This record gives sequence, structure tokens and C-alpha cells, in this order.
Amino acid sequence: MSVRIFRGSFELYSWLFMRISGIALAALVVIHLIYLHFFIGVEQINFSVVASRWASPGWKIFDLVMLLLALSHGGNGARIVLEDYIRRRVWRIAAFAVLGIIWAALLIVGTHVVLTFDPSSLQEAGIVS
Amino acid sequence: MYRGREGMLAWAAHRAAGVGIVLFLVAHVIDISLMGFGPKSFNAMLHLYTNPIARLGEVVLLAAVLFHALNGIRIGIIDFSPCGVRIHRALFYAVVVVFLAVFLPAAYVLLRDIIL
Repeated sequence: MSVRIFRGSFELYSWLFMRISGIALAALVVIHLIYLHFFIGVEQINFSVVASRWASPGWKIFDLVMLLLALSHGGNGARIVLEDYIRRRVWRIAAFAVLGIIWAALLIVGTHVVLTFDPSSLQEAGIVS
Repeated sequence: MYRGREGMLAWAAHRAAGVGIVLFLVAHVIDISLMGFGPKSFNAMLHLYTNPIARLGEVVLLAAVLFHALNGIRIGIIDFSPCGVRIHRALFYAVVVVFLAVFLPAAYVLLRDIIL
């Protein structure tokens, strides 16, 4: 017998969220990949390329929305995978705790770098054109 | 029959791709956070992504993202369209065809400077 930790209508909202965020991510990630890997290319990306993108509020919001959706969709997906293979309650709680800590750390680190990045100081220093 | 057929294959590939993408996401959030530490550390990290093994990894990542996105659309059609469940096998083959049609030329574009 598996042990259910999430109760009530949580799984219904989880299911709906995965479909809605999935559709949004399909569009956002495809744009992200085409732009950075095909129009620019991995060999050409550097600090000033990313800095000049983050100089525009539109790309900052794009990256932030994509980050939040990817972390939520990926985090919930990881939760579902862990639930499928870990049956014992103590191990499940331990796995969810580790997942939650990694998830929160990535959320803080990821949003912090986008939100606090200030390209104007770099433009004055001549690092970014 | 579900076991070993298209439905299970799609599920297994969707899961494998999803796990791969989420592991890369962990690395990617950390590497992009180096933007906060200035150009030197960020550019040094980016240099790691230009070696041939990483370039191959880029193509594997593209395959994972593309399949997961296309099969995700298939799952959405199965769940929300009235005839979705009935045509889930046909939808799987549609996913495979679109995947190959996009992935093969895209992989060529990404790899042409290291294979030619």
C-alpha cells in the first residue's frame, strides 16, 4: 500500500497545472532555444550577450516567467516521479524534503540573479555596449 | 494492450526526457546565476559548453525538449479532446514524424561546424 501525502483536490490541480504550464513552456522554451542556440549559437554567447538581453525589461520578464514555470513544472514532475518509485512513507517524506530544499534554493538563486542584474553600471564601465 | 505498445513507449520516453531536462535545469539555473559574479566567471563557465561533448549534449537536450513538448501536446489532446483517447496511437506516430522532421535538420545545423 502506498502512502498518500498529498490529499484532497491537490492532484486535480496538479494535473491541470501541468497541462497549462506545459503549453506555455512549449512556446517559451522553443523561442528560447531558437533565439539562443540557432540565431546566436552556443559559441557566440557570452556575458555581454546575456547582459544586453537583460537590459530590456521584456526579455527579463520572459526569462523570469520561463524560469518560474520551468521550476514549477519540473519540480512537480520530479515530485510525481519520486512518488512512483518511493513507496515507504519515511523515505517519501525525506525525498520530498530534499526536493523542496533544492527547489527553493534554485528559485531564490534564479530569480535573484535576473531581478538584481543591473546592466547600466556595466555600460558605464564599458563592459557592455 | 498497453504494455510495451505505443502508449507505454510514449510514457517512458516522456518521463526519461522530463528527468533529463529537469537535471539540466538545475545546472542551467546555477550556471546563469554566475551572471551575478561578473564577466570573467560567466565566460569561463560558458567556455565549458563549447567543448564537443557539451555540443553533443546540446543536441541530446534539444531532442529531449522537442519530444517532451510534442508528446505533451499529445497528452493535452488525449485529455481534452473528445476523440483523443481513441486516436492516441495515431497521435504518437504524428509526434514521431514531427519530431524527426524538426530534429534531424536542427541537429545538423547545431553540429555542422564540428562534424564538417
